[in-house]
Amino acid sequence: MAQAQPIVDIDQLYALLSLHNHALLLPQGDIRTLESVLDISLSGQIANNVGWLPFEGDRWPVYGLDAGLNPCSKLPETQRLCVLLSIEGGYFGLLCQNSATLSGSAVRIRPLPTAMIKPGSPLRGLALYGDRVGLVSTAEALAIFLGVGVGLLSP
Amino acid sequence: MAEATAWIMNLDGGLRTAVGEREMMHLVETPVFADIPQTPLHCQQVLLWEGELLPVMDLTAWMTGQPLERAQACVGIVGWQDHPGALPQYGALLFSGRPEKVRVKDGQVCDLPERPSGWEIVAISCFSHDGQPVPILDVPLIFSETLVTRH
Repeated sequence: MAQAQPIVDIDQLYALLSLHNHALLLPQGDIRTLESVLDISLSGQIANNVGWLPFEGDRWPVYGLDAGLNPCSKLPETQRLCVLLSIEGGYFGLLCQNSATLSGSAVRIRPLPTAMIKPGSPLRGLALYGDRVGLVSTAEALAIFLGVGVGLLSP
Repeated sequence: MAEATAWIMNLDGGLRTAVGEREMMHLVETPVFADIPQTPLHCQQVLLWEGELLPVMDLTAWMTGQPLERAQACVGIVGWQDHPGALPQYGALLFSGRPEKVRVKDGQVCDLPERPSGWEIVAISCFSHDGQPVPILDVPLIFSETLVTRH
């Protein structure tokens, strides 16, 4: 395992999502829009999702994660914001407490240490911003982790 | 007869292990960890050290299935090179209490303990100290993907 050099891209913007006591960083370009959890329909749940979000004439699955970043089937009480993420073929929503934008110049990204890579994990790296540690992922990685299938994107 | 210096660390469950003196870079007696979800049971935290995020290796968890008790947890920052001239790599080893620095002679070499069976994977040799076997860790291996795939 070569010592990874930090990835510092001052032109990159990151969305910083608060999930329980974790900070999840996603490329800002993966974010399509932010919606209120009040806009989510809870009927017709399938697989891991907690509900559906209407957007651009279709309905898109919405997912919640618990403190261990495991999918949960119920709407987490503290998460009132739905972040709609773009993937090939459509979108899916991820619930969180709040969202902020972080400049690439303010964060140092490291690959996840080899010893910490768990098969199937959505994590792609770790981030240092200030004295805080964040989790780095992408919409695509989360979609794979959550089992978001193109055929299920919009029933 | 050749001698070398080693650091003996206590794991839970009466287990002890050692690393060479040159591998132990620093001791952190009151470590502050950041929990990282969706990671293996034996490596679920990182430690911020010298501006780097180091994986915290809990060998007790890997060997026994139970995480080390954090009440008296201490961390040793270990370093290694994958090959001569390579950039140094660093990791954090989790153990209990303070480590013990000892001199080890060739004549103290002994067989690995039969239990737990994991010593065959993580240890490169073993020496006897106070009548007990102390496996010497293969530091580069334990911070590789090996412990994830051979859990």
